[in-house]
Amino acid sequence: MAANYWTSTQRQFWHFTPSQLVSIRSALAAQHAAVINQYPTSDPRHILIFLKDQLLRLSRRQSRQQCLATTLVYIHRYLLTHPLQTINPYLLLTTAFYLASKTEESPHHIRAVLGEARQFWPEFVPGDVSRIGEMEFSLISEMRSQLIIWHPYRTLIELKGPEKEGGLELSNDEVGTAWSIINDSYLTDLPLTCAPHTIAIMAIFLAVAFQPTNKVTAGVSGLPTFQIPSTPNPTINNTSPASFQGLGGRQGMSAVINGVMNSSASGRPIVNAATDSKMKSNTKPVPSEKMQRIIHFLAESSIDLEQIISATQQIVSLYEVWESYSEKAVKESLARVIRGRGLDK
Amino acid sequence: MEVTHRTTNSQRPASRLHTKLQAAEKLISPGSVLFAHRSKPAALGPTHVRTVSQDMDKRHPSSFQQLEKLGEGTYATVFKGRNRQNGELVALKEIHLDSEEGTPSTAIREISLMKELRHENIVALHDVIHTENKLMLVFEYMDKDLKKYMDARGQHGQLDPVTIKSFMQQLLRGIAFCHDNRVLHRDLKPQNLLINSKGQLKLGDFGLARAFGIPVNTFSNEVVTLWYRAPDVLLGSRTYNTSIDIWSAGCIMAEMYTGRPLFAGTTNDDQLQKIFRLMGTPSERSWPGISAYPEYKANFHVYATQDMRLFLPQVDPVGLELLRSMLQLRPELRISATDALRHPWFQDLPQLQARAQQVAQQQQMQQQISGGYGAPGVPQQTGY
Repeated sequence: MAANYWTSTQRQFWHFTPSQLVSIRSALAAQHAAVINQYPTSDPRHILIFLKDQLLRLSRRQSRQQCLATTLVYIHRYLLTHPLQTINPYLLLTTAFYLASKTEESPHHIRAVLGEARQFWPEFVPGDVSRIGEMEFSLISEMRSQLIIWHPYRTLIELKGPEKEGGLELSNDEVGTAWSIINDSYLTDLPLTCAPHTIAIMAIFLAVAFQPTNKVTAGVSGLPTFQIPSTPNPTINNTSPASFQGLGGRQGMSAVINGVMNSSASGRPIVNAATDSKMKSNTKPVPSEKMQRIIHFLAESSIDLEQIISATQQIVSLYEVWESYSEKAVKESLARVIRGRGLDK
Repeated sequence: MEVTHRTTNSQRPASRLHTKLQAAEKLISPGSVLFAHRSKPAALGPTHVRTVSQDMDKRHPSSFQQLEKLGEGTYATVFKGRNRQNGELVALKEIHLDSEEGTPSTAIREISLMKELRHENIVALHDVIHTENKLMLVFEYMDKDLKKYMDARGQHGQLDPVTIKSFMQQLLRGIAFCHDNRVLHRDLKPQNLLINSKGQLKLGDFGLARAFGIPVNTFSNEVVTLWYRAPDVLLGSRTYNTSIDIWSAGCIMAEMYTGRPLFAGTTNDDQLQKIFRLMGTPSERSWPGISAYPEYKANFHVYATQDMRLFLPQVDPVGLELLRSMLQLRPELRISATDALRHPWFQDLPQLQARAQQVAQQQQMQQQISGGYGAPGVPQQTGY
């Protein structure tokens, strides 16, 4: 949020390539092999879905949207140095939220946060406020006081406007859908591997491809009409937890996205569509005007299309993984670790 | 945000390469003027997360020798310190942690913003050291703050015109950098401007600073020391922006000339009255929408606008013009920091400085002496 993204600590210290992430994590796993083998946990995305849902409960009383997003980024960062099996995830979640509320300038009192957390997870959250103080300390240290997080929402807001102002003229529905996709991106590695504007553009692309009116000429896609429930009235300051809902977890979501991905942009992969658009390709069917505008935008811009595609794939695979998500299974696997290792003490 | 956006455009002429995406990138990073001539920082190696945090654990408060106390900051005690390894002087800001209360949010805000802001006119945060019960911020050492500098160097607090121009340029550069990077300082005052022996001025104490990237209408209106507080804030505005820092800069400029605060009010109302007495009482005609401010009163005493030359005879005509553009009552009419830096007043600064250097100790401008430096009741503070 503050300062220039390119010179920000986020870009300098917390931006990784996917392969860097793999080696960080495998080094960490090797270091803690015994405990990780003893307490296997679910797919990391399932864990994040679970934590996100718990976060929504914790923050049900007015927390700005951005505060929730920042909380999830703090959790991502902390998990790079601490395997899940060595921490109390409920305490981490509570503390990350408490800290994010301060960096995002909507601070909550430590006792109020603890009180709420105890109400939801009395068996896992220690009753002593000093535990949050200590955990906060550890979070700040691990993040080397680099606490300011850049989010994709602002790019989305800037790009939704009229074309003459450099915008993409997005409808409210498209903005809402893109907003929800951005919310979902926090459950993947994207906040660690992608610049915020890349995530925003990926979300816009998917959102426009989703909207029935923008679909390729009728008949080509053969997709069922799918009403995407998008985030109502999305603004960064929206304090309703509903505004942090994503698209994931709905029946058939990944199939829909896959369908859209294959049929949008005239049935060709995005990259080709983008390059072709320069050559005024005459291929039919013709994508909608808006889709063309986005394709032009992608083609003209210096943005890394490969990155957009890989980001899209991460979202698609999140929705696939989501279909096998079971809150109960995650909750139990976490409880086994916490009890087994006495992390609730 | 508009201010910074305009700036960026004017500095980078539109070209064919100027695509929408570049525009988009600029929107998320209005300060990306920097990016134009600075390559993107390379990503660090895969293991850096662990290595760096280990480095951090190694650092220990005992690596600094604690010297005399410099004063009390907004939420901490500041000591002079010496780095035991290289003998370098530092300022150590100690924040006592109470695990019952968590880390104060002012500290969180200051640390996180200072980690992002690196500029020669902003005091540098070298390090953050965490110990069991305290957080120690290690800042570069600065000799004194502007208030102490004026008391020590000035003639009854007044500074010479060349020093004032140099300080104003540095102050505005620091402010422009903050604003380009979407940060409001919100608490600019002589005590928060630090001066070193090389005559450099740096902004300190970001305890009240905030990032203004998000349009927020819930800013607290309890910021900025009364004397340097902008009229729109005094009128109860909670949607203020970068222009509040410019008002403070204008007040500081006048104070460097006279040695006395320009508007030394005692209460919110008194502060407004002191401003209106010189600048004229605004009305719905001169400031459309003013009556909608929460603290607006229809029965404000009506003062006529005074001629600035009369109450600031020390300031040259070009300087007065700049000062007028900073001390506009209406926030939207106040000049931006970037535009202020382009003001003709600064044009002759290099020549003036060269000449001043030749005539090593030039006699200082003598002006009529008008009372002592009245600052009763202000607790000793430091600018860190």
